[in-house]
Amino acid sequence: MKSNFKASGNDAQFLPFGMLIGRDSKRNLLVGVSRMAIACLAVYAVMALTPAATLADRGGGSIRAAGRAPAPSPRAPVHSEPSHAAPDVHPDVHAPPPHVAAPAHPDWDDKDEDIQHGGGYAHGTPVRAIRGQRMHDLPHHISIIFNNENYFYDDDGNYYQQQNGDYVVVQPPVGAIVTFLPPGVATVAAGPTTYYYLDGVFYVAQDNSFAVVNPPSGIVVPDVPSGADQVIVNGNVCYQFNGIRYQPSIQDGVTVYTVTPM
Amino acid sequence: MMQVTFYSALLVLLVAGAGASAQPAPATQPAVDPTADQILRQSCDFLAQSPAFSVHAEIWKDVMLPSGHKIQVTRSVDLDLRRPDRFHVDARAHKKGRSIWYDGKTLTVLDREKNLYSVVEAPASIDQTLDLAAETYGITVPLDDLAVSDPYTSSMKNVTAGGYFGDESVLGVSCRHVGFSTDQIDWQLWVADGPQPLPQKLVITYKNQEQTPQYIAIFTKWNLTDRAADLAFQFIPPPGSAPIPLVSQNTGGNQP
Repeated sequence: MKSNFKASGNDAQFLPFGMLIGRDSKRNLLVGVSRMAIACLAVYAVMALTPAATLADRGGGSIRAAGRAPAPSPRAPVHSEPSHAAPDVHPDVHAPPPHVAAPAHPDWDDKDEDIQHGGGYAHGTPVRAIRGQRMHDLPHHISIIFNNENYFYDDDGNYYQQQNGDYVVVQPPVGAIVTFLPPGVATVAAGPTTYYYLDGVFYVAQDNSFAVVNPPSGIVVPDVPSGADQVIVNGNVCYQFNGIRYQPSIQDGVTVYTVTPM
Repeated sequence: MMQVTFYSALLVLLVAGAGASAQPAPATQPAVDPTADQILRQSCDFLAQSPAFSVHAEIWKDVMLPSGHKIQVTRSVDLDLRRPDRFHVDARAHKKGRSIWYDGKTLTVLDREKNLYSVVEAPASIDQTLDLAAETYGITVPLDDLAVSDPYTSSMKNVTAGGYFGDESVLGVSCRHVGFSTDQIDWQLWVADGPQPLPQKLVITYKNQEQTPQYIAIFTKWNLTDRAADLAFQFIPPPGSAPIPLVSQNTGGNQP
């Protein structure tokens, strides 16, 4: 049987169904049409004989990996799409959360991207402020009142409190409510609950807003908060921040951190 | 004569198609152009018979954003390999990097940005170690298609069609352009036309994924001499680095 693919030289044109014709020959066109008919039937035959695709794409950049069946994994993904659209209740400050997630079929180095915590379309690269940092002026922000205390929440997801005329970067209190998620937030599923994580702060959706919450033990996050302390516990390196321990490991080729409240 | 051939082929295909709709699908012969098959086989055989090589790859990958936009990210990869039981891969993106060492006994993964690494015992061959990394730890070693002992069989495993698309130059190197299809991907290879038929460019199109993202690799700095010392395949922890677990896909992660 003739192959569906045949070309010689650079003047050949590749057309659908493997039909290749020269530039200016009617005869070639007729031959091409005949080949197309054969090719159509061949494609039909191949489609009829081939089982439905059951293999998933894994491992970008690898022909081998594309043909490999997905490994069984009982765990929820570290990154996934939000299960619901974030409420657009603060249009004057921000659009819905400009969340940048991993590709649908991440490779071991796909997660190695600055875009994980970068900006994206319509907003610049977020600035991550370290707790305790002091500044005279606040960036663009909204005010939050929680337990009769004033907090300021900027467009990049940093929280501040006023102290002695300055603004100090602080950890937001558990229970605080914000109307939009910061850019670069990671979506982390743990059991039935979807958490949103960024820089040591965990959120869950609550009505049309997002509440700051304590993380469940064992949840896996993609990075540690800025300013976390590296410590050795039982001979293993880990990180501590705000009463939470972050135990690193390499999963699917990517460094992630398992959270344990201390 | 030509008409006879045409109608014979038509009849065969109709019968095959009709039979297929009523019976379980038997194995089909891939529709691969013999020239394409020969070009790929020559290249793969040449690679398989090279006891050692090193290569540099510049890689571009499409990434889909939840916003619907498609962007492209860039990285470079260097692979040093000595058959049958050594390889070292350095993958570098902006500010970040990951490296993998296989020394015949252990597999090490280093996160260069975080200066953390994992070491696990590894099987005795490159192929087995690539399988261990992928199937147990979810790690697709970059350029693994070049590293396997039988690249031809590995890459043709799921191919349903293939063609030869003429000659082209890749960075000034005259190449023969071939393309192959599987159910999941279309992949194209540009193979140097000469005594050393080495891959010069690879494009993989994930045709079943939204926006059909592509992976593009340009291969340069091929070196077929066994220039890497044994030390190059052995992991030496960088100053200040710390070991962490390499977690199996079946045991790690967020449990319900």
